[in-house]
Amino acid sequence: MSPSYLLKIVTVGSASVGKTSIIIRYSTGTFREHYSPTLGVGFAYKKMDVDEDSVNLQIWDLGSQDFLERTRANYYLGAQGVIFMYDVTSWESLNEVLEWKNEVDRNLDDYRAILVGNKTDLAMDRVVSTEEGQNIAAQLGIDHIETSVRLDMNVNKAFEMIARSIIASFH
Amino acid sequence: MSHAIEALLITDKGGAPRFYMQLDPKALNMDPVMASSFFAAIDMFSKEVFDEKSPIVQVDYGARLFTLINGVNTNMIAVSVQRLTQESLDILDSLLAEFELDWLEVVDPFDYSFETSFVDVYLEAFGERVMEKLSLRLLGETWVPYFTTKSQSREAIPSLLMNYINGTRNVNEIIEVSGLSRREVVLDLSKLWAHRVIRFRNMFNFNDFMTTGTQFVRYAQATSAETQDLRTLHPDMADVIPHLAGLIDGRRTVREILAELGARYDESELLRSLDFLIEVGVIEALTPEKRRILLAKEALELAIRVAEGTYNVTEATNGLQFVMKTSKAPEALSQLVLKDGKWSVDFDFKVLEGLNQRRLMMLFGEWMKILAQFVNALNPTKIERFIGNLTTVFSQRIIRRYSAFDLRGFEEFAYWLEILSTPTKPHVGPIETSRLQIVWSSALEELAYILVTRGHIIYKSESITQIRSASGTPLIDLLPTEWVGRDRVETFERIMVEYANLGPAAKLTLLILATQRGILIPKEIII
Repeated sequence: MSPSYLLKIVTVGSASVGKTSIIIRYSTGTFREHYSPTLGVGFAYKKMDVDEDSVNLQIWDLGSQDFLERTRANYYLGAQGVIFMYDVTSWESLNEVLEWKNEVDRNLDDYRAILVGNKTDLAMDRVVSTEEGQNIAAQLGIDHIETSVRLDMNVNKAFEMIARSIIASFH
Repeated sequence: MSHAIEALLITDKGGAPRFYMQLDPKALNMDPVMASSFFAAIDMFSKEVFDEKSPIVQVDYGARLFTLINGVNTNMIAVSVQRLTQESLDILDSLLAEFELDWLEVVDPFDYSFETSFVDVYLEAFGERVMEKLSLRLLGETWVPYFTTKSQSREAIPSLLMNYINGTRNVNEIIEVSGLSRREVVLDLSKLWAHRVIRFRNMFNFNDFMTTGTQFVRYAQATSAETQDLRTLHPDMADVIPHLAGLIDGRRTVREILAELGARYDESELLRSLDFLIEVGVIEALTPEKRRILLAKEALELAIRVAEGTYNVTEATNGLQFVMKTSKAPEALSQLVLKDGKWSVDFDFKVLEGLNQRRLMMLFGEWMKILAQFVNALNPTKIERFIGNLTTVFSQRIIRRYSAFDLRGFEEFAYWLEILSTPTKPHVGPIETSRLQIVWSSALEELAYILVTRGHIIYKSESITQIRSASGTPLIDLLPTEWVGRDRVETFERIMVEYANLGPAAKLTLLILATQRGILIPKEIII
């Protein structure tokens, strides 16, 4: 019988890049039109198959506000995967990925990660090119993918990427 | 169908207008002159935009969103305040194809020049087709249609409602008197609107929050041209409007304004004055995003007052001043004002004029952040008492006053209060989900899912196990559809009662989540 995995993933990144929205889209298939900052932590899960393995992906949505840093620190414990997110219409959010990486490194020793550039549907507002996102990902030594949570593009693929990466690290 | 489109514009590839139509009578500043300037901006921009490979492009122009659909010979621009659904986009696409095939040649571009408003390039018959597919956006039952043209110019338009529109009957009354279905009435009104022979008054809801724009002050100046004109045209309104001025403050609803002045003025006179002010564009009903901002600001104002009572003015002031040092949003900071030695929130909405939807969403987030940080800055020794008092006040002044739609996202503040009031370290390990559903078949199931998972994180698994055992719920082990021999509603009610017993912050979370979903809460939880 193929093994079952229970994986803990955390999503981090600047405010309003779409961390909560990507989780809602992935776990329920719906899109949240309104924005509200996550205060504290959110949680969702989804069962998925990765090749022969069944996976219960538990996703922890960490609020990004500065004053939540101490609260956030608690929730990194035990995470095997990290989704770093930025917004392709905001340079600031991409630059801040490096600071998020530092925070994760302070709280986690061993983890797998991917870099997700969201909001590709806002083509006119886009300021970060795919190549620039890929360069930062290469600098961090992780995979990169662009998504549009609104249009449901690459959302499942992003979660599959992180799940595969974690499972591969077990072998 | 319901949609978010305020106006439609079709231009040829050279940028010349071919068709314009307003689909939302309530939309402010969408008169043809204004739309003409929008058009000029699009025209300048169009060459870059239309060269894009994508057939549909969305452009955010400040307070409005333009959806550009690239046709073969023309381009369609839909104006809205929010993104259009795929269903709306499909209809627009088919309308554009129809326009190009059947109507384009009917309009001679040499019939007009830039000296004439492009609203003259109007095709009533195509407008009727638009209305058949889209109909008026948000036609309110209390709106009163009235004719804007003389009867002989209306004779060519076949309508079922000619004898029922008298300038005083509202849409609901027209449905009753005519014996027609709502759909028939809406379609007919849409057609008359397309032919530009009717307009509407009484277009606001009694629950709308009303606010003034910067130009409103002209109606509060005795010597302004606007007031002089008003004295000539509507002398009664000129007397009423100064009394309305102090009440249209961004936090009172139409109902509250009427109640305040009801003893002095006739209600219809007040409504007529409000209609007039809306029509000239100097007051407006708060949009959904601004209502959320109002809610967050009201919540902060109440939190400051409750903190002054639970702690004292100095401690509350210190807390707020600490938070103000960290905020970088001028639109929020400039609205925290010191009055008589106490900090309070200014509810004037003029500071938000011209901001786009995205900025408004960010500002809602900023107010929520200020609110959360303010509570975080208070002395933790009395936080439990503070949260208890705040929950009581919020229950009366926020939960009951605002709609479910306004409360979207506000639950995050309640979660934050739960975290602050729980001294134990949070649960960070795996959550027992077993057969817990994440795609729900009812609002009750969704509520239970959120309470169990969020509660698990905040209060640790023992608390949730306790709830499950006290309520006897098999929620996690069995799907609700498999609860043989159980009363589902009763079981869910027991979960709610047990969750509320975790503390006042938990009760606030429950009140917000239940109100958002239209769920009746058990009597023992009502404050």
